[in-house]
Amino acid sequence: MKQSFIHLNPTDNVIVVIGEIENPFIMVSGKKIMIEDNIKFGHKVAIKEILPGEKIIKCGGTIGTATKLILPGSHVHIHNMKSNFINTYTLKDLYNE
Amino acid sequence: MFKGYLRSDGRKGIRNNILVVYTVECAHYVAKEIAYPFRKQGVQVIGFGGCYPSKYAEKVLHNLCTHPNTSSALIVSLGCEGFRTSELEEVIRLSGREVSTIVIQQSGGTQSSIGSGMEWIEKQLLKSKGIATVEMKLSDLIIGSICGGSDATTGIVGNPSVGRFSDNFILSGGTAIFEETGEMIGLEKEIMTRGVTPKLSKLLKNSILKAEKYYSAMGHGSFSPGNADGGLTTIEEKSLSSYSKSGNSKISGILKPGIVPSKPGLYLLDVVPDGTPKFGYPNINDSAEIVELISCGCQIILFVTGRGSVVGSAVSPVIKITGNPITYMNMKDDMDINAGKALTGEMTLDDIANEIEAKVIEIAGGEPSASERLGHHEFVLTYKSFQPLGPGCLPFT
Repeated sequence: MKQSFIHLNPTDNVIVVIGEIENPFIMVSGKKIMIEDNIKFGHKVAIKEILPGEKIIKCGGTIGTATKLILPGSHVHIHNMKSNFINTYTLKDLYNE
Repeated sequence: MFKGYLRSDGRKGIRNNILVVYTVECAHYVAKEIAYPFRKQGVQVIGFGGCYPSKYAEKVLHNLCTHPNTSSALIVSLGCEGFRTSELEEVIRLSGREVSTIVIQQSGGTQSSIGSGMEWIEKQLLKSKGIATVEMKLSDLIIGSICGGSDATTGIVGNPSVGRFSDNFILSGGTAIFEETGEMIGLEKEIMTRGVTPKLSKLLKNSILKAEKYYSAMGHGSFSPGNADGGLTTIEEKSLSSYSKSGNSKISGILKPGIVPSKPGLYLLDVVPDGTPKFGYPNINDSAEIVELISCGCQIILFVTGRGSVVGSAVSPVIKITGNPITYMNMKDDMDINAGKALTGEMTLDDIANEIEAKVIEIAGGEPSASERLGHHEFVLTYKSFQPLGPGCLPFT
């Protein structure tokens, strides 16, 4: 069966969408999590509750910090996390000031 | 294993290109017109657009004109620019290659410069067929790796498969160069275990800190809107992904553009200028990075893409690897390797690494890569300035 998600490192608090999501319910450490709708290929989903200020861990490394409360099953992206180094820009930020 | 071209400095090339080199933008059109009829016969245009002097641009063009994949070069100058064309001509001649210079202002202008340039190329095409061929093996190659148009697959399968190839290649005595310290921001701790000496590890870390300072001054990191669409969120996430193409081998040294490693091993190319940030972004696009890798002697470039890049390069063939199975299906003609098979479970990362090795041997042996077949020979060279390499950057040379 084709995999829909990949958990890259046991310490990661996110998983990555790598295929069509046929069943939005997944089991993580004995708990059932419902995955948010319409998360695109390659994007991340929280598998734990992540508090504002908490680190986002992928591939065992810190890839940024949560800016909002992120519930299990939610999309983790630039709307709820930020870089600890140089801010990520979007075209909207640059041109619709 | 495959046949290459023996150059008089002992280096071996896998292509026999003739370069037409403009030394200011004003001479670019004439250079393009000279090369155009011969574009499918290994005649390529490279050059520098700026009129003000640049030691960096001169060094890069010196190295490309004497690169093992280059057989001869025609310099096309307007006549009043800051580029020192006579030095370039001398460097090419001393390397044992044929060279000629056309100064447009002294050659009767556009039309007659194009005419005499084409005549010179026709003669060189006949001569270049007689250049001695030589047996080459995989470890004779210097292979550069770069990623561009990255998405989430780049760090999951694309770059990790290049990393595995690179580890095997270095074990067998090859030389590999990876680049882009701007995409190592966030890895300051990780890099401390990678150098062959503690001093080198510290210098590797300093090169990342320099990149962070430089990109901060420019206003944002090496991150494009497409990276975010593809699932990446921050520069440190992109860094983790980018870094995985370096594999697990120890790093033997730091290079700067135009420095050719004299011993096998794995090298980091520091592409971020030294001193106060000036001249804008360190690399304005992927092609500028590819040119710098080739200026360090790379005969082949491995280019990992997720979103789907189409670029090739002048001088050295580019092998395109995508980790995204959807991109592979959408842009099949532009891709050489589908590393997405490791994502769908059809193949392992080691299988893909073996496929990369087989492809490198095939392309080195003369088969065109996808971008070569489609006629891509992009070239970008902008203003930069570097200090010479400091002590400890190349510990064992």
